[in-house]
Amino acid sequence: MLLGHKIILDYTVGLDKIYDRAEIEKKKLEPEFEREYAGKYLSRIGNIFSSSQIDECQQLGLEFSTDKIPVSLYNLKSVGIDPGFSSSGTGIVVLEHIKTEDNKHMIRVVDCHLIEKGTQTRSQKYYGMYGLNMGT
Amino acid sequence: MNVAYYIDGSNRAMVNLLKIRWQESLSWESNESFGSNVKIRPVNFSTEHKNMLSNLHAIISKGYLAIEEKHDKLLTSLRTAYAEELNLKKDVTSYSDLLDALRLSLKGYNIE
Repeated sequence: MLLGHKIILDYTVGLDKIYDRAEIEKKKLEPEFEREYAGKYLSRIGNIFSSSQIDECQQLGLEFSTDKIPVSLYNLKSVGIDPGFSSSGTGIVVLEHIKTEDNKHMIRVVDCHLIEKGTQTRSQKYYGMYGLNMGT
Repeated sequence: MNVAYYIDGSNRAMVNLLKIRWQESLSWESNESFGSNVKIRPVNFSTEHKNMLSNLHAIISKGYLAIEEKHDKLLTSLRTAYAEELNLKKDVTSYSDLLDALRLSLKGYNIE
């Protein structure tokens, strides 16, 4: 039986009513902004990476996105696999090394999958896929 | 030969399955050094995890890692990554399996 439905009211609903725009701009610089004002479930903030470091990763991701620079067969790729047992998921991350126009080295995430409580058969399907796609 | 697979060596069954898939020898130990022809590279996670986390931190700090917004789970795992003395606390880190996969994959690169 459905008792109700979820309504997420983010800060934009209260702009110029209960929130002042200048105040919101200041709050945007705080790490908990997305959680407290944008209605996102982000649990607690970690202590390893700062928000600015992660924002920089995202900014670089925008700059070197796979839409702008397609994945090359010739670049060095590295696949990390954390196989899950029955109680944990399987994580797969594919990285590609690229060189920028100013000869700077860059590593970009080209694919990433989380297989919840994955079985070996399902995970194997992904590994097979990478093998074929990357010309190995 | 431009793809290397780094995998948590504690799951021997999975490593062996992948080794069979790429027709590699099933005699392996995760602490051995690999030749350039070896694609499937098991990593001893229990002894390497601190180094790998430290390496991930260094690479992100130096601005070498680019992550697109579409990989939102990976970004969330970085945002929530919580460690005590370089031991990742998996109970408070969201999507910690992806973070583990990311630090494993970074073993493929040597950036100083």
